[in-house]
Amino acid sequence: MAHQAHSYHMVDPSPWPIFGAAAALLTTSGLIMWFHYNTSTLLMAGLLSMLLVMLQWWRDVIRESTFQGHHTPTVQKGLRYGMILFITSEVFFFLGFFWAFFHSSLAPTPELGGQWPPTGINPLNPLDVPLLNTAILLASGVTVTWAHHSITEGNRKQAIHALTLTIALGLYFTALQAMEYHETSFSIADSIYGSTFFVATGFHGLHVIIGSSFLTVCLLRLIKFHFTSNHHFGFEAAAWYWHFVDIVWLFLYMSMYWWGS
Amino acid sequence: MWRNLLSIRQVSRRTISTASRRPLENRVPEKQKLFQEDNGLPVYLKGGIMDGLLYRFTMGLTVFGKAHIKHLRFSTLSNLLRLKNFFGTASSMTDTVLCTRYSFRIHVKMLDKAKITHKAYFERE
Repeated sequence: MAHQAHSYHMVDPSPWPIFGAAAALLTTSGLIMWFHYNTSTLLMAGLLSMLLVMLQWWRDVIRESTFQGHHTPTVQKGLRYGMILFITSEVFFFLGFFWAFFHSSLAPTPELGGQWPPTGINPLNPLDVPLLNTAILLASGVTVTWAHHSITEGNRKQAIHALTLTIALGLYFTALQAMEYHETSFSIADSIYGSTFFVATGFHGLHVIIGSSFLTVCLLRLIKFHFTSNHHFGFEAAAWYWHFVDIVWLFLYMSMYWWGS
Repeated sequence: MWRNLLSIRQVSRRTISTASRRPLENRVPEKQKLFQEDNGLPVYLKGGIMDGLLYRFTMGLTVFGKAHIKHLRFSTLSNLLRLKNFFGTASSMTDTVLCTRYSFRIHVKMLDKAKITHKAYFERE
C-alpha cells in the first residue's frame, strides 16, 4: 500500500459539504415560506438536515483525528489558523451591531426625544441581573482555564469537574438572560433601542448556546479518554470560542447595559 | 433514633460513593482498530450499519427538500410567467433560472471541447 510522503491530511471523499449546502438552501427557503406563507415544513426539514450534517461531519473529524491519527502537528497548525480566522470573522459580525448601536445612541434623533435611552424606554438596571451575568461569565472563563490546566497536567477527575462547572455556568447565564428577556418592559419593536439591544444581546445569547454545546461535546470526549495531555485541540478551540463569547459580553455590558442606560 | 438516622446517612453515603467509583473504561484502542481496518470504506461509513442508515436519511431529507423547493419554484415560476405575459416585462428570477441552466449547458459543451483539444493534458497521470 502506498504511503504519503507529507504530513498533510488528504481527506476521504465526503457527502457532508454538498448536503450542508443543500441544508442551508432548505433553511433559507424554509424561512421565506414561514415568513410569507405561514408554513414551517421546509424550515423544519432545513434545520433538521443542518443538525444531521453538523453531527456527522464533526463525528467524522473526531474519527479522522482520535481514531485514525491523521491530525499531525502540521494539520493541527492549520486547524489553529482556521479557528482563529473564524473567531475573527465573528468579531467583525458583532462589530457591525456595535456600530449600529453607537450610530443611533451617540446622536439620538428627535423621534427618540433627542436622548438615549429614548423617551419612554425603561432600561434594565445594570447593577442587577446583568452584573450577575458578568460575574458568571468571568467565573466560567476561570473554570475553563482550570479545566485546561487539569488536562495538560493529566488530572482527569479535576478536568471533568472544571469543565462541568464551566458548562453549568453557561447554562445558568442562558437561563438568567431568558428570564431577563421576559422581564423587560420594552420589546424588539420599541424603536432603534429595542432593535439594537435585542439583536446584539440575542446573537450573543445564541453564541453562548453554541459555545456551551461545543464545551459539552468536549466534556463527553474528555470522559471517553479522547484527549491526551499534549493533544486536545478540540478543547482548546472550544475554550478560545468561550473566551471570545465572554469578551463580547463585557463589551455589551459596558456599552449597552451600563453606558446606554 | 439517632443511631438509626446515622446508619441511614452511612448507607446513603456508601451507595453514592460506590456508584461514583464505577470506572469508565478507555475504549479508544477498540475504536482505533475499527477505524483503521483496511476495508476500503470511507470514514463516513466506516463505523457500521448506523452510519449508512444515517447517511441515507440525511440524503433523503435534503433531496426531498430540494424536490419540494423545485415544486414550489415551478408553481412560483408559472405565476411569474403569467405575470410576465400580463405586464410584458422580464422577471429577473425566471431569467436568472433560465440563464443559469443555459450557461451550465454552455460550460459542459466548452469542457467537452477542451478535452478534445487538450487530450494530452487530460490524459496525463
